[in-house]
Amino acid sequence: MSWIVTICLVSALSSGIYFAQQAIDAKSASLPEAEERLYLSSGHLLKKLALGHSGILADIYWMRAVQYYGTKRVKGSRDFPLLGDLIEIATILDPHLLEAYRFGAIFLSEPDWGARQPERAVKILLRGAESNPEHWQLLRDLGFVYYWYLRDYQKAAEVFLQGSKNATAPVWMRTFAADLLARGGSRASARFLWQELYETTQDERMRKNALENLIKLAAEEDLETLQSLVDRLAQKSGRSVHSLNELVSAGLLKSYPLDPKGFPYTLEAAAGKVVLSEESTVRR
Amino acid sequence: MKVLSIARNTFKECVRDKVLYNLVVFAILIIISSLLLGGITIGDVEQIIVNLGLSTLSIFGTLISIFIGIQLVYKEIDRKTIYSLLSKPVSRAEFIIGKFLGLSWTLAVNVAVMLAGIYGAILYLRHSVELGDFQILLAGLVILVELMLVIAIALFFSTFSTPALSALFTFCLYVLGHFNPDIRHFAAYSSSSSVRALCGVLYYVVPNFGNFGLISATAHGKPLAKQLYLYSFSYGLLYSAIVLVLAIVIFQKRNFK
Repeated sequence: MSWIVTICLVSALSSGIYFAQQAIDAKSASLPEAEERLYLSSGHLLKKLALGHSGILADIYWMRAVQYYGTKRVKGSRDFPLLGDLIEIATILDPHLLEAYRFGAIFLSEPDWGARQPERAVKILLRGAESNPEHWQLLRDLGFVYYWYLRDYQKAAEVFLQGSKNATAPVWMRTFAADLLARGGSRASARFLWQELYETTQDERMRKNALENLIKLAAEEDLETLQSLVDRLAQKSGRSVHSLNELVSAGLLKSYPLDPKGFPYTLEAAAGKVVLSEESTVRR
Repeated sequence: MKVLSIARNTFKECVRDKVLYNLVVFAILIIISSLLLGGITIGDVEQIIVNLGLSTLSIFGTLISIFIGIQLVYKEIDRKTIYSLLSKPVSRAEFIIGKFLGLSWTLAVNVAVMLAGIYGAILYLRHSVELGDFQILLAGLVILVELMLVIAIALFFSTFSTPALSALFTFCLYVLGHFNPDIRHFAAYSSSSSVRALCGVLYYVVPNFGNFGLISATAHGKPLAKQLYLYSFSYGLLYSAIVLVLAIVIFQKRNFK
């Protein structure tokens, strides 16, 4: 067969394949999505079946967890039924896969953009801390989950104290534990923890998350301050305040208040409550 | 010298059979991983590259050891070249050892090139190679010893069985070898003394492939005791020697008329 005939034949067949694939993709789009399922959900069984290659299998499952989470987020879904299992399998296959514990705990715990399963995150982090006693960061993360997502300040303090016993752990973990026991869920404690996370983490995504939460805390503080100013003005003038401009006119503020992302705060005149504007991208 | 001639010919045969083409697949895998992994996962990409590289080395190497190993003796019998070979002043023991060394040599080249590929990927990602990366070389050598054991087992079965059965037996023993620690755990929980005794014997008789499982620790950069490498090498080489001796004994008794 000559080269020209070969090229023409291969080109013709390739075009056929291209159009056939397009047709299949178009038809497949109308098919119902397959039910999400993990056929092998036991990490211990997978470890046996891996025949000594549990490390790479753990990496594959972790990659799968990251892609699963990312795909769901892009589609705007708020349910992640398989996420906990995928992270658990990855950490059983490789008990030293620190990223799976640390990022996995955040993905599982977050109420706004995560799986809203902080208890599962606790279970995974406890196992991680047991398998990696030299990594105080896992206990820091566990303490954080108890503190921020579960609001269990007693447990958080216990965990921070336990983590502080590691010779390489930072000093603040011990003092923070004491502070937690004394002041519980104060905003100052929360700000300290997120700031610490922001400054020490290497991963850009974690830093961004920490920054968003710091901004949220700053906005909460602003809202409290503005609310007290509104209440004070209402009491002084004997009537309800209808707009935050009145605070500027009364000399209580120099200019119209903006949130940390530059969006104006709003006053709900009916309720007399200061809130973030609807357009604001500050986390609620 | 005869052993080395047979080994050299076996190596050339393997190269002629395009065994080393698996390196092309490996190279593509490593290159694609180095370029894409950072975008599809969170964490240490180097760790994944080392895991992927060493696991691929082990898996490809095992498949080559089994599927080429079972053919080493069978091909000579099938082509009837065994008669001319054994009519020369070459003992059957030299024949078996030469075949073993030839395929081991092929796999050593395979391992060397793959290790170079892994180091190349690390260099691309990190722009430097550190002293701690020497562990990867040691892990590669341990895998090579593991592969030599698989070759010896495949060769053993091929001295008296068909290629299909030899492949099946070798694969089954390879899988069983990975469950070896479970045999000992089972013995610990058994109430029967005879079961405990049997399991105790089986634990030492069945080759323990778990002894060569250093890939994960290497990927995490965890320092391992030098003695562990030494014991793994010794275990693999001693076990291979025993299996080869048994293969030679069976081959010597075999009648080709």
